Amino acid sequence: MLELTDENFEKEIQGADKPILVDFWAQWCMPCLMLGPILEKVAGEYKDKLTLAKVNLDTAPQISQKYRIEQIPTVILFKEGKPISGFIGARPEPIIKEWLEDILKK
Amino acid sequence: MTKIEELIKQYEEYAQKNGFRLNPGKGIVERLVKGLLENEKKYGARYCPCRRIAANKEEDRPKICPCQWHREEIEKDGHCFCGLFVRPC
Repeated sequence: MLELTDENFEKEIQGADKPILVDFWAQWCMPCLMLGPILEKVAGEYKDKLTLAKVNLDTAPQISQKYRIEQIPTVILFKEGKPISGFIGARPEPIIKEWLEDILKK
Repeated sequence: MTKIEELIKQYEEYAQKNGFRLNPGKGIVERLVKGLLENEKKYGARYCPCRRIAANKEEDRPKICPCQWHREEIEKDGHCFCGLFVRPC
């Protein structure tokens, strides 16, 4: 899993050889803490297809603003350096897998 | 009474007065309230821990807990976005 900040975000996203699933979160956000382990499990199952990255809003204020993150958790899938899809709020594992299957096919 | 307990009591009373209630998960409520106090220390007000703080007082004012959106979120989803307040049983 990657830890992304304002300093390394663009470099990691642009240089990635696989899609990156970015989880924007913060320490005291309960829905973020519920979603985190689900994303880690799902990312483990999809490890050949994507990389999971976490962005703590406290260490990435500029990136969070750039991608208009207003509520957390917000999850965005970046493919070839571009944000292609995402969702806001905690979601159950089957829904996340369904979303990923659909989006990775495209 | 600790600051956390005091604040939980305040939010409990607010919820009761407004026809909803606090999340029944004590641990969830405690963590959220700690987050609110952290934000108060860091940014000067009890901003929702589930929203980005823009460091612009005008823009951030609606995010002070109870936030501008909590009533419609409780009505629509059964809880506010962050999960502090929930619809009554």
